[in-house]
Amino acid sequence: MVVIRRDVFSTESTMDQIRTRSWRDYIRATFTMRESLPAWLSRCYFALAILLILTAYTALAYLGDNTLIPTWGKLFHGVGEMWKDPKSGDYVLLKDTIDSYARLVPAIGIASVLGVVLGLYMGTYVAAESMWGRLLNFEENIVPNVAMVVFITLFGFEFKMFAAVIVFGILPVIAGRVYAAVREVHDEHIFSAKTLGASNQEIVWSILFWQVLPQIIDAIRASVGLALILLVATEWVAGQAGYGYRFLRLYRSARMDVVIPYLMALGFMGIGIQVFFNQVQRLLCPWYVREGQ
Amino acid sequence: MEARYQVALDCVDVHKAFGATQVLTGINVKIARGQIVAMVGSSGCGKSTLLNMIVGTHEPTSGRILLTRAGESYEVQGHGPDRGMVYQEYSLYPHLSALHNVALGLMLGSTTIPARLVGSITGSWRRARKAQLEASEAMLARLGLAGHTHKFPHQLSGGQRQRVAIARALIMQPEILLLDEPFGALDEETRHDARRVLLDLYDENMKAVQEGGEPPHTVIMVTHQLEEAVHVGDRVIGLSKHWKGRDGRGARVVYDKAAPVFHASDPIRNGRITHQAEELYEIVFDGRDLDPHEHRTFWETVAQGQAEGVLAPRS
Repeated sequence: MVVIRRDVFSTESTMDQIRTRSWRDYIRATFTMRESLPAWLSRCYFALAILLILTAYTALAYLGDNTLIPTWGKLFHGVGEMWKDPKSGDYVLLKDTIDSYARLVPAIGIASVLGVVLGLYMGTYVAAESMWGRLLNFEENIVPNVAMVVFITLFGFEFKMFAAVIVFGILPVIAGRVYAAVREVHDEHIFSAKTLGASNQEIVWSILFWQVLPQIIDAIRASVGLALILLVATEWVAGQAGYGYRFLRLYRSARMDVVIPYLMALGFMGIGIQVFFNQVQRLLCPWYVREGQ
Repeated sequence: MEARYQVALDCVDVHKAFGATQVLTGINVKIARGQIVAMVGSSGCGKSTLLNMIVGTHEPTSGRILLTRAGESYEVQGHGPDRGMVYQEYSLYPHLSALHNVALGLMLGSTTIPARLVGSITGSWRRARKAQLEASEAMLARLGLAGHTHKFPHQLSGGQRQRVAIARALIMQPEILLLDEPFGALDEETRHDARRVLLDLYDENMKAVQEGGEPPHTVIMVTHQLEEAVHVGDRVIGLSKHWKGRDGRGARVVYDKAAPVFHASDPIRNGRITHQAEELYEIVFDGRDLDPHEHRTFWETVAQGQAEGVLAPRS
């Protein structure tokens, strides 16, 4: 018997909500739509999902004549190689991360600055929206990796080309989300600011920017995943270093024992990025309350 | 013995149309400094439009809106800190604490980049900011929010939020304060508390007049609550589309009368309030084919020395 707080959507009284539950209640809660679960049970279901994946993987790796899926022993060996290449002595993951992030971070920075400025002004001035809104919408429909042909012609295989592909791909996403956030700001906030003597630029930068900062951070966070996809694809085709280039080499040598740990490492780094952005948002926007919180 | 007053706002033959739709027709309203004027009317009759024209969000199709500052009359053109505005909702900036919401107007006046650069070197900018925050804290305390200065709007109740919004407008010392259904989203108990804020402002006006000074607060409040209009305002203006010979020409003022003056400590239930609220309902909401001049007796009342409050006759 465990004491849990039950369904927030129900009309039960507080006394009814806090009462002891049997395992039958947990099973019923599991199969009831939108029924809240105690934290320990949620964690159990997460562990169950991991267990299912590991079991399926083990079955694939050990049963039959499958030679493509590495066994656990090969996988642990692959983790070692992913960390340090026995031939060159390079710290592979670290080196690739430095190479790729040296392209990724400045490109996201450029796209963020441009996207935030465009989004803020498009959301505030109809003229800016008329100028750039449709163009960005059109640009969003061009596949950035195909546009790479143009960027290679213009910039060769240097940093500028990688940055251009990323900026081209994520700029409309950031600008669009910032624009939508600014449009959500009620007219009353703008009119009030004017009655307080704010100039147009003060309204944009001293009020609207700070008011939509949580959505700006969300927009940048959402664009990191897309930026990584674009970068890896570009490095695969035109890189001499970085994640994409590494995956191309691993693919050619059919090293699934390194590829799988590498993918896992990238997944964990992705979670690290999400946590970083969450912390930044919490630090800069203590007033921001997400829906449902 | 006669009333002495200065005109704070003068709407001269103001018309407003949106495309082919005439919303307001021939609005002639003169408001004296120190008055709290409640404006009522059915939904869509143009009350908020008139307020928006005064605040500068909308322009009149024809006519003029004049404000007076230090004896000088000037026409409203766009927004300005001389007109404070409080909306029913979305009044406060969610990313600023109550204190910074109130201080925002003062801060905006001193945040030009050159002023900041020079001020940070000399230290004057920091001193000015400190003074602005202290003034804002004092204003919040005056409106009963001393313990809530560092709370964000989502941490305040609806009534507290509206008080912060009023504090933010008042700290700019506007020539006229405009309230667009400020208590519309509040429950009945909170409404009564919020009304007291306005009655306190009127008490300050009365005190200033009795001491021979200028009343500091002039307020126009749009409301749907007729009893609230009579209780809080020293004058009630009613707009209606149903006047004689209108031919779809929009709403105009069909009711303009003095209202009894109350203090914050007076009981809310009062026969005079109920009586005038019923009259208002009959004329403004239930009236048909009205003579628009029949119930506009406010300035006659003042001329006859029968007005109460800031326009009461003085020797």
